[in-house]
Amino acid sequence: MEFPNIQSIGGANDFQAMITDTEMQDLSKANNSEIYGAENRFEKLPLEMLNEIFKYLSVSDRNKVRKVSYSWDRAIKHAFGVKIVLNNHNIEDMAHSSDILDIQVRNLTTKLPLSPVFSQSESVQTLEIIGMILSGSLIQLCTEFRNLSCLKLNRIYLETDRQVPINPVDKLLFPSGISNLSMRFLKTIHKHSGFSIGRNNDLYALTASDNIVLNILTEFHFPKLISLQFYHAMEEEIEAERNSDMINRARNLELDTETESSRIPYLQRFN
Amino acid sequence: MPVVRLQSVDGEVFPVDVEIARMSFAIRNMLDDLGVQDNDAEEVIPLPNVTGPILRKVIEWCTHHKDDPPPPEEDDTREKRTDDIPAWDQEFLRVDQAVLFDIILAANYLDIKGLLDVTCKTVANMIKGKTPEEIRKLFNIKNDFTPAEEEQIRKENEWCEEK
Repeated sequence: MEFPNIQSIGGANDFQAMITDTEMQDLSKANNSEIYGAENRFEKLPLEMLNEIFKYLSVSDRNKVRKVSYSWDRAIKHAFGVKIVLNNHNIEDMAHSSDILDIQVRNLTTKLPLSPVFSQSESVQTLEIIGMILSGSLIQLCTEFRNLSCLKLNRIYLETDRQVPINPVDKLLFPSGISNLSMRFLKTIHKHSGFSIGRNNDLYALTASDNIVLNILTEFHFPKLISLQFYHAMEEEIEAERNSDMINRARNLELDTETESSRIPYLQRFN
Repeated sequence: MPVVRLQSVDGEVFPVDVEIARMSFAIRNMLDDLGVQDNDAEEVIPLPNVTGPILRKVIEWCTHHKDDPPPPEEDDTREKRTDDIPAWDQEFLRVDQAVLFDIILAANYLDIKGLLDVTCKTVANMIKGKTPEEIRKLFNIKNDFTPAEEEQIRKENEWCEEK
């Protein structure tokens, strides 16, 4: 740094006036360097070192220190995820969150912790969206799905209370107001898990046996299965599927009739 | 006791017992790759990422811990404790931030797990229990969130914030 020619600007007072507030702050920080960092040392740490430090923080602490800076927030989200608990007050807000990493829906009735079975991947226990699943039933999940339909999902875990007997066939009833996005999501579940989807006037219905729930869990356990990319790809797939459907229907109405008739006995189970 | 000579980036050379030097897996690999035997006392190992003062601290730590059992394998299922830092290490790491972070970097580069663990725990302890603002002040970190991003995190964090 070159100092100005003091004489040319008239004297010491003028020189002092040239020291800006920022510079004064810098100087005061330097004087306190033994207590406070004179510079942000974290910037020099590789990301894995940052994560090495963060791994010693609790989930709650990690959530809190996300607020320190954008880079901390990103680092924590990507290495550990963050835990978000939804309630009736913030569920709508959260539905618009742009970068949710993981979702775990767990039983609110029993408040059981997550099953270790579904926690094998290192960053599985990252973000929880605690849904409102009734014991032994997944009925209320439809509400959750509808509310969460704007989320970009990496993974979804549906956790039921393993200690409560689950009917061989549980049912999910989706109101007709379910968004297109949720419907697409459900179709993807259907495609990857064997979930059955039926439609009867104003209801979409799905069956979910215990095994099928487990299938979903297994399927969705793969970190890359539902990624942002996958989600977009999914929309394209569905679009292609829709086009393909239209073509098929035009070509073969009989096939469509068979498909519809096969749903009727299944739907009757809910009546 | 056979020694190996470690050279810091600023040219300082430290004769170190081979046994102690081999606590660094990076140095151990270098010695093995070079086929250096325990009696090759004149061999100089250049360490281009570590300054003399930091290397001195690292050697001091390794010397103190040379008889320690190897650190246990990482176990993700176990809670990560930070209240188990030995008193000697606590005193050893009572240094200013620049030195502490340089030791972290050196421990990482030299692959000394025990030293890396204890330094990271020390920084974690500096973070714990502080508000984001206190952490920013402590480490001179700039708050670079937009108001919207801050508000988003505030909402997401409602469950864990102090009431």
